[in-house]
Amino acid sequence: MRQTLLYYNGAFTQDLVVTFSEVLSQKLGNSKLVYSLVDIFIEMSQNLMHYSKDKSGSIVVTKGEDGYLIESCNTINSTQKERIISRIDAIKPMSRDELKLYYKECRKYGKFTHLQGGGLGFVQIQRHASAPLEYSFEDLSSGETIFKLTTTLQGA
Amino acid sequence: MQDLIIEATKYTPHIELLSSRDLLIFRGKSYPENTFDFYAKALEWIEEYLAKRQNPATLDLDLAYLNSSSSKLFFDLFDLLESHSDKGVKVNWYYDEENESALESGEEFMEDFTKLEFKLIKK
Repeated sequence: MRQTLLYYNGAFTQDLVVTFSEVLSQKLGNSKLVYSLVDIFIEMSQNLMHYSKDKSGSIVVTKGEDGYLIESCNTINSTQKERIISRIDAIKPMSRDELKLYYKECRKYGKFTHLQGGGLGFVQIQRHASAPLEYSFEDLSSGETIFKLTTTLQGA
Repeated sequence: MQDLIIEATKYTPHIELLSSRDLLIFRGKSYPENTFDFYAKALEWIEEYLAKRQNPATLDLDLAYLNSSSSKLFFDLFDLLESHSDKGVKVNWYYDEENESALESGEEFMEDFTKLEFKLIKK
């Protein structure tokens, strides 16, 4: 039975992201694992705010015996689907060292013009995660697509 | 040149840019929603300062948390400082012993910017 630490469905704002991050830190204390969890939570929330049409969606953080799951769900414009898939597929098979090098490589690209598109964010999330990121898409008749992302973080 | 001071919020650092002391301070957490908008004023100040300065500059950083776009922004800032490093640039990267990630983040910047006099300092 997994314990739900946080569940939110609705409009996201920067203030809510701050509040939820503080709630997670207060509940779980200050360890490297919690730092990773909060970092994943912030990156996934800000990705959601960037990609979703109206800055809305849901995020759930649960805790089981072997660690945490962070799941986000939001609608995106269908045209962004391929870009998200290629970005995540590129990093999924990478080892920790490869991810570090790739992160540093991505960070060099562009100057003071970083387009907020989750490129570096996905790499940062994957660097913390204990397993490859998992995603799924569901195309809606409206031309929009539901994007689900799941991050696994092992540890107690 | 006038100093620029920007107070901290819960998700943006305290910033003090002091031309009279050749000292640039960033202290706190950084995860604004629109990172480049937030830092635009500070970057503009730093570019003007670097063009005019006569003395070596010191950058004091005490950043407990950087989201990915803030990490990108500080990368670009180091890059800018490195391109002006002929007059000397010292970077003091302060970290809390318990915050392993802040130390790692400092180490990764240090690896990329070997022309800057980069020091990792335990608080």
